[in-house]
Amino acid sequence: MGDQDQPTKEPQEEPVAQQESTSSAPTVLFIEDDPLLLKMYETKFKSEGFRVLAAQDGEEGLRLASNERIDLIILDLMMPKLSGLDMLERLRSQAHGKSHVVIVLTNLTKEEEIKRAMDLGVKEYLVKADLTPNEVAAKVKAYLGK
Amino acid sequence: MQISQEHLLIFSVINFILLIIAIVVAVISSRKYGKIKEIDKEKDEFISMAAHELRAPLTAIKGYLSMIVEGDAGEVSTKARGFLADASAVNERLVRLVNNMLNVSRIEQGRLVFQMDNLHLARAARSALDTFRAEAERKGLEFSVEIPEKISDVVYVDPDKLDEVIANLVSNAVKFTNKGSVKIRLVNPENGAVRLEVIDSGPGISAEEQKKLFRKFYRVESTSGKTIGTGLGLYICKLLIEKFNGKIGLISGEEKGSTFWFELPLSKSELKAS
Repeated sequence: MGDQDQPTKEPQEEPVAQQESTSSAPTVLFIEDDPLLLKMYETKFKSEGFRVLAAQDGEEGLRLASNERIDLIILDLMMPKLSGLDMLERLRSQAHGKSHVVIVLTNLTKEEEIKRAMDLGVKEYLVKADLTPNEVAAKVKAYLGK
Repeated sequence: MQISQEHLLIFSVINFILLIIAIVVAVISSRKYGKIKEIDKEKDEFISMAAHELRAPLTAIKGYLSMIVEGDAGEVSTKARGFLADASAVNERLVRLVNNMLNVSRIEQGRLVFQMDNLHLARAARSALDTFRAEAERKGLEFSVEIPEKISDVVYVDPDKLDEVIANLVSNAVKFTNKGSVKIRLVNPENGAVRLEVIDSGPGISAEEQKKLFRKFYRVESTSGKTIGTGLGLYICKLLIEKFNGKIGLISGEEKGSTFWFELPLSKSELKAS
């Protein structure tokens, strides 16, 4: 942590509005029900040059994951309608859903959940409160070879 | 002395009464034990939920503070940067507190899930230096790492958990040292191991207190007569280091500063390479 050298960026007035998605930008799908945290990660990832799709519950997340071109999914666990892991289980049961790269980003650290996530082929299980958005972005970049 | 039938009868009655008492006591205590176990489970559930709820706002505070410091919101004055560093340090303390609360019963019951991997201890030490630099500088402490050039430092651990151990040790050193220095040092004490030391010039710890230091809920009385913390940090450090097949300890004396250290076996890949 803290070791990643991030390129220095020009400060941006409104990072969300800028860097509109380009077709070549890697796409990350955030499935996160806390609007404040979602906005925070969205802002950071857009300023880092990602195309960001967002869903605030498992059902919406599953719909986007099934229909959109996505390079990596960042998944929260405790969510309304469909929990993160139930959503992932359904995604994995679909033909095209087996190869999605998924990172769990949650504040829940129950051992049963971690085991279940790992069984569902999650690449990494990250605790939100332990990482800054920059550190999360660095992890994602490492997976995407960016 | 002859034992009459009367004696035998009295003896049998007493035995019978004792047996009944023993059964009653056993039933009551097993019920109580069941009740205690139930309460303990409820306590764990409550702590888990409370900690989870605390983590969400802590994540937002940590995230936004870091983004401001990293320049995502524009230029930040030096003075504001100092304030932000203080706010971050306090927030980190809360994050550690919540992590300790969550970890303790899980480690004890063997329910904590470890994500084991190879880790360069030197990297973890430098990262701890980055994390605590601002807090140490604010207190006017000299804060450094000392890593020999040819160190063998790859250990097989859960990297996040080991970071927590280092953070607990460094955080204590910075908290209790009011002048002088805090240094993180790495050494290879013998073939097959690496040792991390956190050396401070703080008030030191008496031999009496040293014995109790790694016990659950034990808190050192500070020089101001106040006890601070939850008394979980060092206890968890000990449980984790032992889980990674290492050992932990300290060298200290009153007015002599303290050196907290842990030693871990080098990972197999490191041993093969050397």
